[in-house]
Amino acid sequence: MMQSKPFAKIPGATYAISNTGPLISAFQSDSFELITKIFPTVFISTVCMDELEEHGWKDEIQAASPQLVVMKLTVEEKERALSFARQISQHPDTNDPVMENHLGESQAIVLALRSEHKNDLLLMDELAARSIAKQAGIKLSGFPGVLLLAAQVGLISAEELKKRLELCKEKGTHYGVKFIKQVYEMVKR
Amino acid sequence: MVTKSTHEPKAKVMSATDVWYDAREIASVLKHNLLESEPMVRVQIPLSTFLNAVENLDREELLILQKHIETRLAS
Repeated sequence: MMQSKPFAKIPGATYAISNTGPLISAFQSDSFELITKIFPTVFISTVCMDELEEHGWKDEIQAASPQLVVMKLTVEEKERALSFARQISQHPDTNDPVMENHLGESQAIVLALRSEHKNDLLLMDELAARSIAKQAGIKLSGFPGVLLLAAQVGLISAEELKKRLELCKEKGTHYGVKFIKQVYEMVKR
Repeated sequence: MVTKSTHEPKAKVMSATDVWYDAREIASVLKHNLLESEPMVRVQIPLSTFLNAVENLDREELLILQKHIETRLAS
């Protein structure tokens, strides 16, 4: 699962780099396979991998292989990630001022900034980290955005989208009832 | 039995409006990458037909066309 050599990309395909939150939502709602219908491979950092394991998703990680690939950051990239973690910890939209708690998001940002990912997409839900990633010029989406796109192109129905977001909510992800209703109604626009 | 938990459950996440723009962003990136990989073919059509087709392009497609024309003019 750990990738060190350059990755051979399929021409025309778009790949995803993910933070921990969107992957947990995907596992909670059994949506990882759906994600790979849009992005053939999802890249994560070693910190993200550790966080997923700490949260008890080891079996799902193994089942997601080989579409889920762990990338090791260089020493320089880790330094750069620390700088992003500091920015996230000081952002007005964060509830957590501890820099070390933002290493997952910041390492995902650094991975997304690699030249081989310049046409790829970062999956990230947390508002502060999304803001910092956007400032760095990264194209991104949260997990619900992937579901909405999937529904808009007919990979899943509006009802299926709603069911998946509700499953995430039941399992602890903070998607409110109003939020789920609003996203569900967007499919019909 | 393994207890499964959520990451940073109290973190502020995106609004429904953000989700709408996220889906549009994904669609735009997917479309761009597909167009980038598409091979070029020479088609013999009247210039007026081509200009008419340009009228129906969206902004992103116009930008791709602009880039293509600039490359041709620079060569």
